[in-house]
Amino acid sequence: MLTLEATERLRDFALEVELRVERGRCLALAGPSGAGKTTILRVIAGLRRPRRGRVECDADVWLDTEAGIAIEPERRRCGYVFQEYALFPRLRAWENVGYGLPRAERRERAHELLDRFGIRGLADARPHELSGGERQRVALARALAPEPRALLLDEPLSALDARTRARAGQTLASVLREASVPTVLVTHDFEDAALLADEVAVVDRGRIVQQGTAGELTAAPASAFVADFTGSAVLTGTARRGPNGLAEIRLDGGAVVTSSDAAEGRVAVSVHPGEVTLEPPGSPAAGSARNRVHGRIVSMTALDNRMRVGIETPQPLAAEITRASAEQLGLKPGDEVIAAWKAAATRLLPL
Amino acid sequence: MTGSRWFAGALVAALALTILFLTLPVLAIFVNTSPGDLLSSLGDQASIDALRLSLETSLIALALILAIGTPAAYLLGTREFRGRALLTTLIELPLVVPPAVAGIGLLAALGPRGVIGDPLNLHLVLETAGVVVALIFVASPFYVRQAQAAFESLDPSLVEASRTLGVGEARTFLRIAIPTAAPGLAAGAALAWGRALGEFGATLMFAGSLRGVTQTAPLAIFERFATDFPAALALSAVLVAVSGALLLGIKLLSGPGPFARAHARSN
Repeated sequence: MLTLEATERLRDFALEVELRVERGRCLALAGPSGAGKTTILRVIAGLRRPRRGRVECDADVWLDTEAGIAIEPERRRCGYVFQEYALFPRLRAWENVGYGLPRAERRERAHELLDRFGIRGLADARPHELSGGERQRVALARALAPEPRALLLDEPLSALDARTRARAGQTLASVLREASVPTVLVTHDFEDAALLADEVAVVDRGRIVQQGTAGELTAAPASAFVADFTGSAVLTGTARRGPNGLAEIRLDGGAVVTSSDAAEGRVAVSVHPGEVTLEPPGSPAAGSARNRVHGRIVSMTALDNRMRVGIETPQPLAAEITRASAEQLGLKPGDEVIAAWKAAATRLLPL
Repeated sequence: MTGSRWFAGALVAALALTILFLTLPVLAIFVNTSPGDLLSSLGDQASIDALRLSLETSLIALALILAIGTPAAYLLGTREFRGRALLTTLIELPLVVPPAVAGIGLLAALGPRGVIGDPLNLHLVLETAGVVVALIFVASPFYVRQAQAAFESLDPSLVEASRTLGVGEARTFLRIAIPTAAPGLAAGAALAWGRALGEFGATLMFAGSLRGVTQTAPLAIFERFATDFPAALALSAVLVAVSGALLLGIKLLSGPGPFARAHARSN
């Protein structure tokens, strides 16, 4: 198990985090760039010494600022995949992979690992001769070669173009499934975090603002920031007590919606796109969706078999529907629609 | 004629003028030296001694500059600390000090009655070791500055990656930092060596011009200049050829430089 407690001054704010990751589990640190995610990885690896902190891996204390313990990075043996991979430019792929191994087993073990990642044929290539996806595999193989005590990945997919990402993501997912050590992954992309990690910790301005499974975070974001980050649409308005124990919210810019959450005063209203259905204007209210808001389609983004539809209500709202139903409804940007969702799918977060 | 073509023409003209001006004196030496003079100069024992002394002293100086200058430049190039800019400026100082002043300074410091030379009882004046000291003083800033720049442009995450892979700071310096910065280090070494081979003023002031002991090739050329101009020209030609060959050799040895890299496969 890997545990970390650290306090450190960053440029604009203080970093203050506490986390623990079990063996074989992967925790994603997700948040906007500049939130302090990479600093957390660097503290774990020993590349940065925080003002105050404690890092433990299994029974070993790697850092204890109070006791004056700070084990050097080379003795912590964290497998670290750097953001741009940091492959050694003058070494061949296999020499990169074998860099952290004893000389006697270097060549054989490096080739084995390259084989496992399906790039044995590129063993003699130098980093500048490799594509982005190939570089990522070499970096992963290099980090795994010395059998690290923990695996740290800094934006492992962000250096890749959209086409390579999907495949590299699969490679990474299988590595993480097989890894028997604690893994911490840093990403600014909630979808990557949701896909790759067992748990997601959302980091904002040096703090973990919420931690849970990706589903938990999307279903019950603890703050407008988390809701926004996980992809839920966040609207603002003023809530008051309504009939049947529901809250009634007057959204800024018009429209009144209800929520099963209790709140009064200024609120952020979070609606997950998957909960929103679209209907042609003028269609009668049907089903149990109490919230019906008129709007105009401003964007349509295809995601696999789904379509994310951006709607101006006038506040921005998003609906995620199947591509089949988008085609059936003949939706196109500029169309007027009714966005409908249940009061129970309307999260209220006091502002 | 369009504006950009006019500008391109001006750039070419400026470069042509630069190249012409810089190579003309060097070429003139060869034009004015008959092959016979060249051969007789090579047969002259004093000339051979001077050339050998130049090579020996400049190589020893270069070895010492590399051995001490490389780690010093690594510290300056990779760590942030108070006073770094001041230290960098101090290292640059010999670049702007006139060689004659450098010679006087070395005498005042390391000469028989110098600040350090006296208490330590150093014997450098009129000794080959004194030549080496003078060469190191004038040539090392060329190497250290270039090496510092090479280490500054080294991606710090390479060093960090090496350390997370279990390799300590000292071995990371040898296995990653030096090989990655090698083209820059080689360029600095070539500059320093060239400067050392041509050194004149500081050597003359500090070590003197004693045939076979401290009379390097430039000093020998100066000695002949007044009495035997063709011989001075011939020795100059040899020195130009030797230093040109060394410069070219080090450029080739340092592997794919920026020129070769531009043609490297990229996909």
